[in-house]
Amino acid sequence: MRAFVALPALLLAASAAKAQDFEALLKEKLSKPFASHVAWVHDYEEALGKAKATDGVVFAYFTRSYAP
Amino acid sequence: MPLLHVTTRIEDRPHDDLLSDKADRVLFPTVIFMDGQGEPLAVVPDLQTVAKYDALLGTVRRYLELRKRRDAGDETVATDFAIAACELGQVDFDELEADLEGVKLSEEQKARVAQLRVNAAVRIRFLITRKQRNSEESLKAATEEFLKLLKDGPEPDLGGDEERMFWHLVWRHGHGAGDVAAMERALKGMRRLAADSDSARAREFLERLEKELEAAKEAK
Repeated sequence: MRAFVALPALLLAASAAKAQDFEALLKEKLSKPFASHVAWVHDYEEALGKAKATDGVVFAYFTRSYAP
Repeated sequence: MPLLHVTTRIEDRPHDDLLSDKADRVLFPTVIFMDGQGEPLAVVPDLQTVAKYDALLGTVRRYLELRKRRDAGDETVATDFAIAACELGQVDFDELEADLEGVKLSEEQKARVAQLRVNAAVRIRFLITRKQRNSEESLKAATEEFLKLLKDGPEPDLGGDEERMFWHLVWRHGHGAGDVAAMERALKGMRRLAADSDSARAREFLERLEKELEAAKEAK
């Protein structure tokens, strides 16, 4: 019975740890030189707004923690 | 407007799935040129050189200008608009060719269509060889076609893995047959593809090819 009670708590703890991992990976990615060498916008709506205002184009670079 | 998007799987993060919303295939890295409404104009998987991104940006701008004129009722831009859409990968080359049937093209348009034809042929060969797990037979067929393309038309300007395979096979042929001209062209193409690379491995690879080219020249 104790195992049934402990299992959801363990799963919740694992999920919270995973979320923290993802946050840490994002932070690490954004600290890489390529992220600061360009005046990137990080917010999609903001990028669209600026492109609209200047009749410009959005150059969107999609990456992940493990990718270039 | 440069937008940096990192896909994270963080729950409830706004637009975390933006790439899968905008592109058919989710590959990292991918660059997408979009207009101010968020409409994807060109989807470019694989890492490209700055020169290639710059050229694409030029094509995107030309496409947007043509779109504006077309939307305003200017029918004279129809052909250039169709070609630009194909250059951005919005339309397959077969579809473009069908659209252009019977249309009189200017010399500049003919050159752009010829470039697209070569790129389409290389792209198809790339897919075939990959599907056939780079079997020697598929590589041989690709090499034969690539040498013919190289003789008859412009060089491919796809960038990325597709063009890399093209030059690799041209090099392999040149090296095997002692064809110095083919080796020189292949090396030039591979250098262009690696122009922005700071990889020591890529540099060593090119240096090795350089030495092999010199040896082939001396053996002549």
